[in-house]
Amino acid sequence: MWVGNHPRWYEQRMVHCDLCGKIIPRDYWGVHENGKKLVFCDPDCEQLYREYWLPSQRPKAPKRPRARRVSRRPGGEGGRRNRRG
Amino acid sequence: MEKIDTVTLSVINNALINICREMGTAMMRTSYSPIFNEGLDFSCMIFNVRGDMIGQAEFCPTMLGSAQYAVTWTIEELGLESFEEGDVVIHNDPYRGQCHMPEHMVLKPVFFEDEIWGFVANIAHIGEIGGMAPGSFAADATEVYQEGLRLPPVKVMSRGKYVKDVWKIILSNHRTPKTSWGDLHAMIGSLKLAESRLLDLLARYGADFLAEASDRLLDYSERWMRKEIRGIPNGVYRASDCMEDDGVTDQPVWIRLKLVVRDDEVIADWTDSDAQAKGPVNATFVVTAAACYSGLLHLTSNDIPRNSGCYRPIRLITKPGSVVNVRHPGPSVGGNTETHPHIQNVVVAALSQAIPERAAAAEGASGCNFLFAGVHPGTGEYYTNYHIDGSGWGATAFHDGDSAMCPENGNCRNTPVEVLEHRFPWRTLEYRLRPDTGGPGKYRGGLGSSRILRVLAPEITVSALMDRTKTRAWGLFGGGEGAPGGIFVKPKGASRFRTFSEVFGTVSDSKFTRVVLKEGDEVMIHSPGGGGYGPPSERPVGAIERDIREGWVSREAAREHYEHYDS
Repeated sequence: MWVGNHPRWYEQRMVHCDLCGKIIPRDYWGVHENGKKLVFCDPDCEQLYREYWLPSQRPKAPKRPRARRVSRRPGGEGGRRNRRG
Repeated sequence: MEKIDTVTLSVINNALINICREMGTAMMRTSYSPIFNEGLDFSCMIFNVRGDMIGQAEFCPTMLGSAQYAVTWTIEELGLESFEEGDVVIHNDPYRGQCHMPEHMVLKPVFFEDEIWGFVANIAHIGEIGGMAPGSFAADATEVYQEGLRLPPVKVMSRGKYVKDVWKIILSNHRTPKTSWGDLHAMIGSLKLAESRLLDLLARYGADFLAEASDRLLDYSERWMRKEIRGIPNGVYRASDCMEDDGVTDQPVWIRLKLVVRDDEVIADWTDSDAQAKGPVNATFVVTAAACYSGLLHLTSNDIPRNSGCYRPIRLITKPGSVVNVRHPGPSVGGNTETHPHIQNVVVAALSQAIPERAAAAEGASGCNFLFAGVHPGTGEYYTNYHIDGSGWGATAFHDGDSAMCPENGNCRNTPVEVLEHRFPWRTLEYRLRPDTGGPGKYRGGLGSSRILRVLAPEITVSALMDRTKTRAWGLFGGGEGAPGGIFVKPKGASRFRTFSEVFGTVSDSKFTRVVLKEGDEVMIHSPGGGGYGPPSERPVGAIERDIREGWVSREAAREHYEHYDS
């Protein structure tokens, strides 16, 4: 349901969406779940939270250990850092 | 509503684009500061009454992607009913949907037949807005309050008249109020021009027809972007990059992306990124959003009409309090110029795994922000200036990277030597491309530049905020890395350039504030080069010979990187 959020002009209260993280200007889409209040920008954010975010947070079956491979992937960590001077 | 044919839609789309272009020309020709009239660090846009961007032109992607957030925030905070004909609202608050503090938006409602129809707006970089450092680019800021005067959406014009109290507050907090006055009036003047042109369109087509056409353009852009995304294989693509330090500590700050392509939608999940930095390399949520949009737009059709519709299929997930979504009151001035291109590069790197033929290697990704201030010995007046230098762009599957270009997120121009010397007490001793700075490859990365400036005044206070001075722009598919950049100083009488850390003890070599230089001191700015694309062994010998002939690659480097080149 839509929840009114009208901070007084002297307040710096900032409400972030529980999915995308954006600061919500005014009214937000509020959902109560397992005793916890969730705040979303709109129903679209809630939908993505349920469709994508929650399933992606479920623990996965442990993988078989593999030998660690060190490589430089484009745009990846592990590249050399050169210091000048 | 009558049927709107595609020709009429196209005419209206082009009319909206041209209004924005004309706004830009007006601003360029009437502004005071070089970052406006030479750098073109501004963007002009048109919005419908809901805050959807329905028109824009070839300006700064970082502003274009974030503007809808600033406009919708303004509408929600003030309320649509609060707008009256002749009003102009100003807004630069990064905690209310803006990019970073120097980026000021002015917004004007457009009324037609006594009803508000939409808005015209522009965002521009005001070169000095107070705060702890002249030029308002404090590389060692630890909170937003040190970065200048923060303005929530407030009216500077009400029913066509100045709101003088607000102007007084703004201008008394800027170090160079006359320049701010001129630049803000260039912005407001361009709004008046756009309002007039939009009213012409409304008179020609009618309010309902133009609103309907705008909605159809938004939907058309969305459909086209979804079609483009459907052309990318479904999957999860990861990439990461780091800011080399934050100006306050010397630790790197990592940006990590898990990008999910799901049929006709992209989910950019940034939640594994590092916590927000102490220094000002944090991006606001809207900066990260704009970088995602810009990355996707670089990899999809050039012909998609640029409006809010094409952003709809791109979803973001960020964690508040992280480097990609700074939490109040964290500083963020460098997030818009430095972190933004890194974020965009990471998006492109992730998608290079899916669509290699459309991707580019990493760019220099630094605005090479150089700020300076002082009293001009010729005029006796206090000045400040925000100077940027271009770096090398990454090579693509069909082209060498462009050299000495403002990062893709800024799309700004370099300031000519003549303008710099005429306006400020510097002598330019050198401004050239740096050989061997573009990553080798089938297609070579763009070159960085070198600029040496000598102080001609008794003193000049300088600050800098750069990145990729320790890290390098990566290559793709066998292409090599670009060279790092740097900023160095040679005090008068010294024999060589050294880092600012070595000479002045700054925490960071590339991010520092309020260093006072004396007459005869010299500064050398090296911008970083871009990465190469494809194996160097596939570069045609003719292209290598041209690089050597032009001085872009030395014979020694050619022998080292291109084994098939026989000199």
